[in-house]
Amino acid sequence: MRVARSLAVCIVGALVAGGCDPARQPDARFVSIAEIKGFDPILCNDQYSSGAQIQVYEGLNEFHYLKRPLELVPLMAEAKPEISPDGLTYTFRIRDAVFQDDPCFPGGKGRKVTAQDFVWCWKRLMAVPSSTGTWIFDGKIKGLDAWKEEAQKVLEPLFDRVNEYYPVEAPQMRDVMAKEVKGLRAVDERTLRVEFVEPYPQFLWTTAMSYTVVYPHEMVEHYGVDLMNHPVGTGAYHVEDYWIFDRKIVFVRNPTWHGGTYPAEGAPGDPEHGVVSDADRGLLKDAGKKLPFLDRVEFVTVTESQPRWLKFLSGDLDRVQTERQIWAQSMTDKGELRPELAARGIKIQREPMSDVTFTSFNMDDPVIGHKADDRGRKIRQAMSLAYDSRFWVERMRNGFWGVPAHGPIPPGIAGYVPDADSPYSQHDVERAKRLLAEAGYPGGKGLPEFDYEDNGSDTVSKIGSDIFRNCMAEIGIRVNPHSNTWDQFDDKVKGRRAQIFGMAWGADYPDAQNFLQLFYGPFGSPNSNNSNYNNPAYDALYDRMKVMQPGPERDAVIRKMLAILDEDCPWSYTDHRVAYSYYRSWLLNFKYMDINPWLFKYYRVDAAEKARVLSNGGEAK
Amino acid sequence: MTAYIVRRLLYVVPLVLGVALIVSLIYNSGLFGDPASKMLAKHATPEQIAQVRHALHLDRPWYQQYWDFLGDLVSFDFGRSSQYHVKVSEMIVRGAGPSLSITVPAFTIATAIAVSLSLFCAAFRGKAVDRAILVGAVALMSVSSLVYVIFGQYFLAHQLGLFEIHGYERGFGAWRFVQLPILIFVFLTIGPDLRFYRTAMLEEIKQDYVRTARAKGVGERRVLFHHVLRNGLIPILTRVVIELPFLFLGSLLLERFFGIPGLGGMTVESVIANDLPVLKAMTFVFAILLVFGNLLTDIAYTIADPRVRLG
Repeated sequence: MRVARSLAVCIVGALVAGGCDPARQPDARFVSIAEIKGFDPILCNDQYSSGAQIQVYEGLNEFHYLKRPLELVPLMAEAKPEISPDGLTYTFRIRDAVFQDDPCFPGGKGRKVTAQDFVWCWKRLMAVPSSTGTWIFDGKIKGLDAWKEEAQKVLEPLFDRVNEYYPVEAPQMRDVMAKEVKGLRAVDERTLRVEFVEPYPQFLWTTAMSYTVVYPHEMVEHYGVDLMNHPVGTGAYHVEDYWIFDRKIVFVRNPTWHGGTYPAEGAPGDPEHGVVSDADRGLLKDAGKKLPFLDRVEFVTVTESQPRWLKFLSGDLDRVQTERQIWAQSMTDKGELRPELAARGIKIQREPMSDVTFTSFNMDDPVIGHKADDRGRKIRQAMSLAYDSRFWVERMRNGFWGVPAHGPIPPGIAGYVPDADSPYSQHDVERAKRLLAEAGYPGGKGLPEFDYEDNGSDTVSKIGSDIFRNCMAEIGIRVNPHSNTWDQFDDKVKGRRAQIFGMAWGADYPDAQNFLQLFYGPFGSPNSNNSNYNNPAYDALYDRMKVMQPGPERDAVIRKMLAILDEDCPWSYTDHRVAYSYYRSWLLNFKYMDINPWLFKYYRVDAAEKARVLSNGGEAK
Repeated sequence: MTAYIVRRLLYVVPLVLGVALIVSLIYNSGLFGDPASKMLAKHATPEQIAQVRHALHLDRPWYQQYWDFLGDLVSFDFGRSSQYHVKVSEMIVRGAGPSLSITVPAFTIATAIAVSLSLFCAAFRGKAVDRAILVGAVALMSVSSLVYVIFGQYFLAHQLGLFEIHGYERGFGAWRFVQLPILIFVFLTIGPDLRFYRTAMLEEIKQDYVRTARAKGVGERRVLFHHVLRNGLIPILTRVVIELPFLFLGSLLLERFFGIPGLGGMTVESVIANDLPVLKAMTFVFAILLVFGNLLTDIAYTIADPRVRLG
């Protein structure tokens, strides 16, 4: 009996100790709504995986934390690059920095980062056939395409089918990886030179993407396919505890980080539109202070809405984003935070997102596509006019966290045309009926039933497709909505079998080119032009625009491109989302950035405020 | 007995071949999308897709892909998850613990309660207390599992603070996170279990030997626990052993809603993400578990009831 009692005491003690070790409590905890897929920057490029990666890996540049529209600031580059007058050559001086300590290095001690590391990483990005990021350099850098072809010839037979892995670190690849590429060279230990075949104004944006971050070749050689779980970078944090399916990543301060300071400048205010400056929002209180402020941060995955919101209310999570279900519980009819939540120390921040949602018409379709010529165009125009995007925003975004879109480029993006307004993006049923009659289908008579493909099978997706169907019914067009899993949907779209489908596009980088390429003929499905729109006049303008620097001249070309799209209507625009972030009063310096929504190194936690709020049962005093 | 076990094990071979064939055919049919296209994401070119399809052997005829799959099974190498690029075998090993940490205690508690209540019902059959328990069991079954989850997370965990809302910690810390899922699992399973066991007990209690025992003046407690329970064990054992393989698979819904990194959540994730290596491995593992579960049931019969002989 005594033994049993002692055993019980031991077990209870161990349970308590195991569950409540204060040393292991994080300073802050943030949430991803989707699974993190790992730390290989060339394979895992979704927003959530990239969000985890940028805590550890660093690229040449990053986005200024506070300024909007987004601006680049040097990160692993020492300063802005030297750009040749013809805009073809970029020379970067690499910062004096070291990789974090890791068993992949001899003696476990991290070594200095060199320009050659960037060359190696970018070559790996291009060599691996399953890399999702080759598009950023395809056809751009001198000699890289030829090198890629050669490298892939060597790498392809080495493919490990069971592990689905291309071993760039294999001995057979050493010579290829060492082979010089004319346009991608380490001039010396700390100088990187990139030469392009034609001007590539978007290049600098790509240097802030996770595709172009630097990591040591030793990491790839040591961990091989397991590098997914073993990131080795130069960033402010390193990963302490992580196994891909545990839905929790523990980031701890990297003691060998090269350092950085909190920005001293923020976005100015705009009193006319009710925009408060960052200084007035208290976002510059830590200006010039050394980063990071948090020693230990947890990044957890909670895929379901209810537990995410409840954990936030309990103080377990420091920030969540709004969604349809949360909105109803948290906001008033006027779109303001409910007073009882404000009393619990919850704050809210509103920031436009760099995305667009739309309904796409498959231009390969014989009834509504290119082949139907003017009749097809009029049907698309009529459908676009019949579609009530305001009602959609009302129902799907609670009327607040989305604004009806009138073009493909979201606000806040370089090249955004504020007065762009597609003549077919306004809800006008009578005009739609007239256009349908002009097309030879009065009241929709003679038209077949259209298939509308939805990229989900949940209630929200169903409401969305019902809105589309009902809008079309108003002008006599019959629509049959189909629910799909994402893979089924993707397969139909990429296989050009989807007739009409709802989609969204989020910016890879904040430039109009990233949205306008979605209509470029040569990029038809399975590439990014999923509507398979093909207009030589548009393509010619795109070819001109893509090599132009942002400015009035380029804006003029963009206007012409938008005018062509307005008339051809390959998309019916829906909305641009607006991010509403809920965060706790103890989380300081938080400013939402759509492209990188988690920037832990800038955040600070007021521990005293946190203790005070939570000890009051969540009520702020 | 040995000959019987060997014979049953030999049955596994065509079963596994059949399961492998079905899995291979389903996933090669393209019903769930193209894995190559999925790997390459939104900027993929047709050439890139063709390149990766070739590397994955997806451009081969179905029988060659089936042969490849059998080769993988023979080597017991399930490859890597196409979504997470970690070894599927490691995912299964690491996922089994969290799954079992919910299902084993929950199943044990639910079975103990259901068997006890079924005996109680049998003793008071037709009376108010029996009816009340039966109504309660039907009510428990009628409530959607999502309602339990939502109520548990909102009221018990968030409002009352009795449990953790969501998450998991490896080691002893897991206990804090599995309490609520266990409780919900018990509520979810107790209804159908109780009704089944009650029927089994009532079947037994009507038997002649029970009447004879009572006529001989044997006490009601002895009748219930010695005679009825012992003879009612066969259907109970059948149900318990059949459910054992499912315990390894975890709970699809609970693991997903509570963020438990177990095999149930992993299976759901892999279905959503069309993670072929994980799905193939889980189908295979489950088929094997079912075969062994059935074998175990048959052997357990002979222990529970010496009249049963293995042919």
